[in-house]
Amino acid sequence: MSRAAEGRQVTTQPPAARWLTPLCILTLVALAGAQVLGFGISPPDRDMGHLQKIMYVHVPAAWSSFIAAFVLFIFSVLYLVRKRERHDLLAASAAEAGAVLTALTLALGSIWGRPTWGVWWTWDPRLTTTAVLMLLYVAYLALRAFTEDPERRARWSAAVGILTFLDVPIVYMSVRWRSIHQVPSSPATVDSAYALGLQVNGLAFLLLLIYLTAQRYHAARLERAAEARREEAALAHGGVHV
Amino acid sequence: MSEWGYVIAAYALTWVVVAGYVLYLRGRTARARKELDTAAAQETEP
Repeated sequence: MSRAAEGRQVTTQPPAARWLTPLCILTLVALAGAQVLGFGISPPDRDMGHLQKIMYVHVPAAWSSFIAAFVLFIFSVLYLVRKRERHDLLAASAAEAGAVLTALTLALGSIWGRPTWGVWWTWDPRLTTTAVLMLLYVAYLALRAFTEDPERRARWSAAVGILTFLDVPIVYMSVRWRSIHQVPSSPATVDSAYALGLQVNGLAFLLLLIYLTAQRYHAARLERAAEARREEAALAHGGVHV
Repeated sequence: MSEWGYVIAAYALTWVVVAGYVLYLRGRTARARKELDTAAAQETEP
């Protein structure tokens, strides 16, 4: 059996993962609590007024999409080195969550941009490089959807996964290239009145990313296990006919 | 639209996306579990 085929072997009965439901509830409660805290303690900004409150969802969503790309990168490299199926599935799970969070970041940025810049969209370096990140996530997921051979799918998507992460430093640096986007908001760059709300919402979004990746990974393992069981059943029944 | 209109739209969108994706994932997990149980039952058939 090849090393790749060994790595593709799956557990035919994955564990029930009962901890996912409590984690889901904890995540949603943490997200709601963090947003209430952000709303409650943040005064209106001198220039933007209450629009500043969009920062508590837009910035953490962007951070989470970057972290998802980093997770995608790590598991893509691990897959290429070790050829273990779980690394491929974890990379794909992080990529799907990353795609959702990047789409959310772009949409929230657009909602924030309309009243502050006067446009829903502009080809600014920050916006454009973030759109490229979104396209890379979509390319990764499309490649997986349209490649049937599992080994080839895992190998090619790992390469695209690594490429996806390479865009993250470019997105981060893009505000320095004559961008109209403000400097990246972080607890170090925003006024102390907004720092705590940003930190707490950042942690809530990190928890959200962990939950989404774990839930997607669990679904993928169950799907693979069902597929393996069907193949085994087909082989067993085929054997009877012979 | 007022300042608050944009703020409410941003938070509403966040919750629609998060809740929608969570429901999709939980539905997909439940379907996969059911498929696995069905496949396991077929395997034990004579």
